[in-house]
Amino acid sequence: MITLLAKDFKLMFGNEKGLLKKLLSILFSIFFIACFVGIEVFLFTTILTKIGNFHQAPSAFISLFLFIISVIVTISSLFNALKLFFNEKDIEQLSVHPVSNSSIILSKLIFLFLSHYATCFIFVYPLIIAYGQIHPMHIKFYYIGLFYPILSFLFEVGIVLLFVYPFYFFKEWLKKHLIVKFIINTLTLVIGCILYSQVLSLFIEIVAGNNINSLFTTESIGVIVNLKRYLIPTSFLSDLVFAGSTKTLLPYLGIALGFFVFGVSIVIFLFNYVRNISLTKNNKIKEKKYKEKPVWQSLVKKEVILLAKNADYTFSFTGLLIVQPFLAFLVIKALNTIFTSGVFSYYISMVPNFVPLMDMLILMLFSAIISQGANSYIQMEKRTIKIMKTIPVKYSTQLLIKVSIPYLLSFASLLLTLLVLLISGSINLLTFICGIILVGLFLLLFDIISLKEELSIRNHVPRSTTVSNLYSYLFPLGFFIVTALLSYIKLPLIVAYAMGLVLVLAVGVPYSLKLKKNMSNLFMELDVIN
Amino acid sequence: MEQNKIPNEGPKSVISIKDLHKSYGKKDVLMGLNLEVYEGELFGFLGRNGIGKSTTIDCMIGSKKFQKGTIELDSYDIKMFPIEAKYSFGYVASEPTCYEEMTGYEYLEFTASIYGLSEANFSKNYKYLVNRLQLKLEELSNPISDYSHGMKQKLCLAASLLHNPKIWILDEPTVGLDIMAVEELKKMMREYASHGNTVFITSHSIELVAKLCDRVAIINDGKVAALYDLNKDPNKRLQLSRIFFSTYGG
Repeated sequence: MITLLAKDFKLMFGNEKGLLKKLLSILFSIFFIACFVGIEVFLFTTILTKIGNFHQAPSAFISLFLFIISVIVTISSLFNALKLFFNEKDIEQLSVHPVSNSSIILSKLIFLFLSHYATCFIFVYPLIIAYGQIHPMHIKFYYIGLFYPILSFLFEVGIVLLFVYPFYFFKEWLKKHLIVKFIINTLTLVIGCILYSQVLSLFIEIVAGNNINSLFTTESIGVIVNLKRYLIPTSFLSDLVFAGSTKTLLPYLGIALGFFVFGVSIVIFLFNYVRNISLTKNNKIKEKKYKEKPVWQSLVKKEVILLAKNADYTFSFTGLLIVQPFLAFLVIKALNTIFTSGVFSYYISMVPNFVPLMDMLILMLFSAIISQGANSYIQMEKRTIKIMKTIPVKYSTQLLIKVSIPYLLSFASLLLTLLVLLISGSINLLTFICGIILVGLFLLLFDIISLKEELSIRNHVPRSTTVSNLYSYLFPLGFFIVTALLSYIKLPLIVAYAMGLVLVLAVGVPYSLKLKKNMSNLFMELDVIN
Repeated sequence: MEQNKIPNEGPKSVISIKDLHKSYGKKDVLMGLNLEVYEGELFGFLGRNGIGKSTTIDCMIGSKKFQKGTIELDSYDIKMFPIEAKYSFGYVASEPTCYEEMTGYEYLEFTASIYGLSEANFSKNYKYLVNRLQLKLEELSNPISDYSHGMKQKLCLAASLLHNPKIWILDEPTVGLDIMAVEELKKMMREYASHGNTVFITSHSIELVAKLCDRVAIINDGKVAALYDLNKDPNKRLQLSRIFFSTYGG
């Protein structure tokens, strides 16, 4: 059982090699969770304090928060369950080992419980702490709070187990319907962004010290109070843990256990089904007609297929490109609000160009981070480097197309971002025009540096990302710090942008010329990546 | 393209390797390898593991740089006229090498387009190769990543012949193929050579090379150590295993 659990841990979290990497990963996770919990406690405390005077509002809000948390945890558990129960490689590996199905399913349920407990705890306990701060509670309250994730597990995972197979089936179907998949991914990202923007604006209102009473009117609170009765069964749990009412325990257990037992029974049956009978793939043969087309068109099509059909790229690069305008707008608007109002505005008045220069910094950082998702030009080829080397097409043409596709997509996203910022009044026309030129060239140089790193990959020597990483962070930061300091001595904004442009060209032109000179050798020395 | 051809007055050589030197750092792998392979020939290239067979092929197909020597494919120097030389051959690697994100059909379409095949030629060659290699049409609509090893290799074989190359270079092509597919491949290679094309094959299977090839070369110490015309001296077909072992002091 322990071996099976250890295997599932590796399956879910990967198998990080190297003590330093493991340690850094753990430290980063702890830091991230601590920050997240801190922000949650702050938000919950502020909101619960503001609504404290309204009758029945705290209990209704807690039910609403718990319901939202329940939805988040259920979705997260659904993805975990999908990876645990219907992972074809895992099923294949386990099929050659003398392990019974019941042991496999039990180990996966234990893993699901542990991951659910951890996720639920991170979300729910800050709410318990916040509530305890406002309404001083007995130690028993905090102790009972530890059991909340166990109780919610029964219902939430019951639902997850009921829906995991339809979800698996749907994902398999989506693999064959790329346009639907793309639309769903885009919609998910847009909805995620809208939700994110709501939380962010609430957070900004609170941080900026604005009056959030306008958000919590008597009417809006009344709606949430009325909503509580429909938030079953989380309202039962909120009454149990927060109000100490035990009369909701039995009805909750009845509902939750029912779902859980039903879900487990279904998943046992379907796990055996998927394990024993592979799904018949019944693709229709589509009559296609080959059309002669220019070589460059075929190469472009190939690059698009490599980018679009790779799940990582679809979500990390293409997805982020779509949401970049929205995300950049939210962050820039939020920071502009913070730095132009309240106490900060006094200090910032001494550095007049601080805000536009900071906007440019964010744009550069955002663009570079998103571009990183698609600049594994050679790594994505793997063994097919051999095809690149043997087809009768100049290597320079192939590499140019390889770099151009992600660059043009990034540039289009940047252009849209700048347009959104200009229309919304977050940046002025000068920053818009200089943003196109400066960030566009900055991105181009970033892609060229990445190409050099990719072309330097050799057998057993992975890509070194030191130069591109340093460039993507240090250049924007250096540009921002230097020009912001010069702004203190009243350097005009246009001169600051011109300085950035000169700097990009001063670094980029010699670097590109040197790469052009060595490109043939670097390309020919490329090894097949296994 | 024709004007770039190097005039050739001797026997009709389609692969000409002269004084080929290739080293990896300080390790010399090829040290003055010379080889002529003629039109209509089925040529076997033998050697033990790590001796330089694949390196020779990599240099031939323009995948690796070499320090000294010349390689001509269909009279095009691979260094001076790499694009023209690359049009003249179809290459199959020992491990299936194709874009796994594409469907089988998309990959064939991509290959045809890169070699500038007309619609009529594609249609003709596609139908022939799909039938010949027993590629299942319904599977060609699936992503290559879903294929078995053998199916991927069959697809690579089809892609390598789609543009009717004069030279067919195969590096250990039978790895992962079932017996039926190996037999079909042997037939295809014979037929291909009988139409005046050239087949250049490396294989671990001495038996396959002995039965199939017209001539065979054994590589040792970075050079061609032995070269036999198996048609002129049929006894050598039977003795090839012994000759192979004796080349390496076995």
